[in-house]
Amino acid sequence: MDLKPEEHPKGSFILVLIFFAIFMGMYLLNWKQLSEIWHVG
Amino acid sequence: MSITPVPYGWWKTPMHAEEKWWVSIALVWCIAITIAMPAWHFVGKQNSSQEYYTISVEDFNTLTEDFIEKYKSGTTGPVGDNQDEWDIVTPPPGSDIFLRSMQWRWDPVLKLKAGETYRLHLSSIDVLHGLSIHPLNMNFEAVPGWDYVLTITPTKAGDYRIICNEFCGADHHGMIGQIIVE
Amino acid sequence: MSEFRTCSITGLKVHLPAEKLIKINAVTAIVFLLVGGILGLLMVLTRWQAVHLLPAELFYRLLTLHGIAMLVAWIIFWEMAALYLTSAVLLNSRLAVPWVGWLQYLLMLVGGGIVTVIVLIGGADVMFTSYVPLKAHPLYYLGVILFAVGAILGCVVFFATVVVAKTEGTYTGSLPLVTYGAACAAIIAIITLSHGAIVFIPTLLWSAGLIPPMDAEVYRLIFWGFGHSSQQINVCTMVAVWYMLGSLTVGSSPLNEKVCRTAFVLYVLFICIASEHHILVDPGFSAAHKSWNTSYFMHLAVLASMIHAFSVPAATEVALRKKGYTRGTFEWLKKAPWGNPGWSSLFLSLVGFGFLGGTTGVIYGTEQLNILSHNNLRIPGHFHATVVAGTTLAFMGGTYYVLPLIFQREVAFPGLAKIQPYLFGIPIMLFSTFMMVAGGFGVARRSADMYGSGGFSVEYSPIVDISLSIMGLSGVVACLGGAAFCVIAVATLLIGKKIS
Repeated sequence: MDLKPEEHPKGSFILVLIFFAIFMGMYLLNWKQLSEIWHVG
Repeated sequence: MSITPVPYGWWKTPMHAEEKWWVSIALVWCIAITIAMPAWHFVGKQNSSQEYYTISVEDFNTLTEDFIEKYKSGTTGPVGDNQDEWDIVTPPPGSDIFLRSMQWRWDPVLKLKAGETYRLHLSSIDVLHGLSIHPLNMNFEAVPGWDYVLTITPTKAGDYRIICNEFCGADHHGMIGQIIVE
Repeated sequence: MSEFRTCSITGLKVHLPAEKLIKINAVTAIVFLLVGGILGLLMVLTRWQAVHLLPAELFYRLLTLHGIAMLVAWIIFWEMAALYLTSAVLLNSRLAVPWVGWLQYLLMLVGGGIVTVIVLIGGADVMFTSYVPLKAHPLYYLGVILFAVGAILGCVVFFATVVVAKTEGTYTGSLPLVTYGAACAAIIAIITLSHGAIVFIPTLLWSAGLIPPMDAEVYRLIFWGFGHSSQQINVCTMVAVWYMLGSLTVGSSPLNEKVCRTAFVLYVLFICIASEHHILVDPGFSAAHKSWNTSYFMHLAVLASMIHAFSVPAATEVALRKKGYTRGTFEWLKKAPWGNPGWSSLFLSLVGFGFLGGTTGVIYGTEQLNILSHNNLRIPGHFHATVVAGTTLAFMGGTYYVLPLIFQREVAFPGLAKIQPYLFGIPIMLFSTFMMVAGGFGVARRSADMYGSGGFSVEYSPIVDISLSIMGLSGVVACLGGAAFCVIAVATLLIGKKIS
């Protein structure tokens, strides 16, 4: 699909980056929580 | 439109800049979170155990009974409204300890030392049960016919509960046990 | 050509036998949604610890039925309607072998009916998962097998119709993206429903006393080939419905067909092995096996979802920008048709599934992180975000278009329909979020009373009480939102103005 410069999906790109930041934050927080429980293996 | 057939040749349409960026970011992320799992086996202290054996429920039951007899240090006395009793077992650090799940009890009550390592044998003698050490929120599956060996090191003293979190019948919610760490 | 009518809105040729099958499957789906929704209200009022409505036995029995009515019956009946819609209607074709379609419907209805009755009379208090050696009445397993076989037949009719359309030349070029997505869902469906049929055959024989029980771990492995992968049918269909709603609401086209279709293929190739993330804290499997399978081979199925997470909104954004909403970054979003229930369902479903369901799915399904999540409330929190806020809401949005296009009636109570997606979507997101928060503090799932029943006492963090209260309140509101949908759908069928 041909897009003029003002038709590029910049808004969706920003939305998806916000999504990604939240995803990374929750993911890392879970590893931190995991590192605080009893050792098991 | 997405609901109409597309003329042939769509495979050759180039990607737009935003799409290229996002697919690249996503791909790198997916590779990173894949590598994280094997990596944690080397740098992390919390992994699900790779040691397990098949065992008949009768044998596991006998092993648990022998274990309780060997290291029994007392009983809890009547607990709660139901007035049920549990054996308290104080095994030496480094030993093999057994935790038997059945409808609807965890046996025995284990008394462990903080900072010491134990080989916890987990299994069930009837249906599936779920070991959830509360309030740590550490969860493992107790499967009949399988002896699951978890090498655990309780890091903090406290009075812990074992909540069953795999549905196991009428009194599933009442299946609560205890681990004491000193 | 009396077998066809021409749609006055889209100009598509609609095959009447296909239309009948779409109608009957959609109506049955909504009936099960209503049943499951009433049960859902009872569930939430029991897990809301301050209310704690049902006694344990009834809670477990109805929870079993809630899972089956929603996860299996509502969603798969609706998917059957979607398969016939995306094949026969979108391709301008006749439906191949309509009698097999009717056999599909009959088998699923009889199977679903048997299961419902057996559960209600207390013959199968085993939950949706029915893990051996917990035993249900043999008819329960038979019902599930009939249902699964019926659904497989529906997929067969879908593929036969695609072949008929191709050979009879009812369309030119490649399949529409939505049909392509539905085809991927149908492939996944055949794989996963076969697992269901396979695992329940020995279970049925065991329950009938004919063979010894199978190993509990083997059952878990194969069952999740059905239990989780069948949810991947929903994911795949939901994404297809997202693209469809984008086209119907704002006339969007995929930004890049190659990217979207490749993402669908990634689902087919990799998503089925994801079922193994249910056995991450089980004995019997090596770490290599677990991390290989739970990562769906390098998380490539997650990559697929992340691609759709961008290309679905981007397609609508471009369509809106082409209409002239080009100022700033977000003018298109402000000017989007928020009063159209199709659009609001699409957007809320995208947010609910993406931000809450998808992310938590990856996190909880990571080999070691699963230790913190296995079987606590985080898990139902996760799948209420995916299957309810995501799939169910998307299907509701789709229904708002099926009603005028297939049932040829104007949607009743348009004012209520305008707000219904918000009334359902926002509370269900809150519900899922706070369910997951409570799960993070160790509240078990499928528990009739988190404080036990008179043995050892259990204490929880004060956050748990607050979380469960928010969960309870928003769950009740979400049930009202779901009820509003059922009222609109039923009223449209009964008293909606006919479109000629």
